Amino acid sequence: MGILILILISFVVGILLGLTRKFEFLKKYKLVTIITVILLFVMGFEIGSDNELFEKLPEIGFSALVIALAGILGSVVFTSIFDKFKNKYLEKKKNQ
Amino acid sequence: MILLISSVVLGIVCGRFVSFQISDNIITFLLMLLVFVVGIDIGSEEGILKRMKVNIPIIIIQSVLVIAGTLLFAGATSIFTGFSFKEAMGASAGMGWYSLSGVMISEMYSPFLGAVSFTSNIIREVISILLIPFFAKVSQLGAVSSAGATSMDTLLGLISKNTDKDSTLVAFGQGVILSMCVPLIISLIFG
Repeated sequence: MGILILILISFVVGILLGLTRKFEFLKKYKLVTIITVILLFVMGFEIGSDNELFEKLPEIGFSALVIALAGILGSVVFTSIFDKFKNKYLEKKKNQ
Repeated sequence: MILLISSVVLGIVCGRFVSFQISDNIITFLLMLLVFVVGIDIGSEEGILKRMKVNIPIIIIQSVLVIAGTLLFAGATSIFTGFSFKEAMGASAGMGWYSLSGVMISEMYSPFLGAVSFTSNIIREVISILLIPFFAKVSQLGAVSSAGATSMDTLLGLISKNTDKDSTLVAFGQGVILSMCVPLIISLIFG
């Protein structure tokens, strides 16, 4: 939970600084891409170092995959429908 | 996107062969940095404060739908696997947040299901990295929903590259709300 708060604070500070319009020069450097690459590498590294996980993988792999796909499918289906309705509603409001 | 998947794969390979402990603090720092930079990006947008207010109801509805969609569809997979509806549903409750859900379920229910949950959430993140650019062409919010709880940090960068600023805002809000809900949902299911 502590990390959640740290991230929230970082985001808010970023927004506040962004509002000052004095930091637009940062956009030149592909910071987001670089940091994301490093983060994902680290995530992969932690997975790779987990020997217990690798041993159990054949057993749990299929179920894990199916559950993940279902979770994504459910999320995407429900929110896409919401997205379409939301856009239609906003279009109507604009034209009124 | 190929770059991102390669990073993960390279990381996994290195993790297999190198004995090295990566400090949690480094990860936390990187997450804070990433979110900070995206924050600046969003903050410097025209009329962003008003757009934020407008987006709050959207963030709430979006989060509710991600939770409902994830739990219901994942529970339904119990037909294909040996798990009960409750077990399959519970395994998906991390919505991408593999570390916490894996540990919680191991403690509250069974280490086996905990491992399934852990792996499933990792797979969800990897599939999201692959598919978010494609989902975004159909629906921006759909793309955001795929990331689940990770939409506020690990996948925020990818989302900001593939969707508009308002959707990126929703992504952050979704991540915050879902992250707060994960421990609650798991406790409700397995408590």
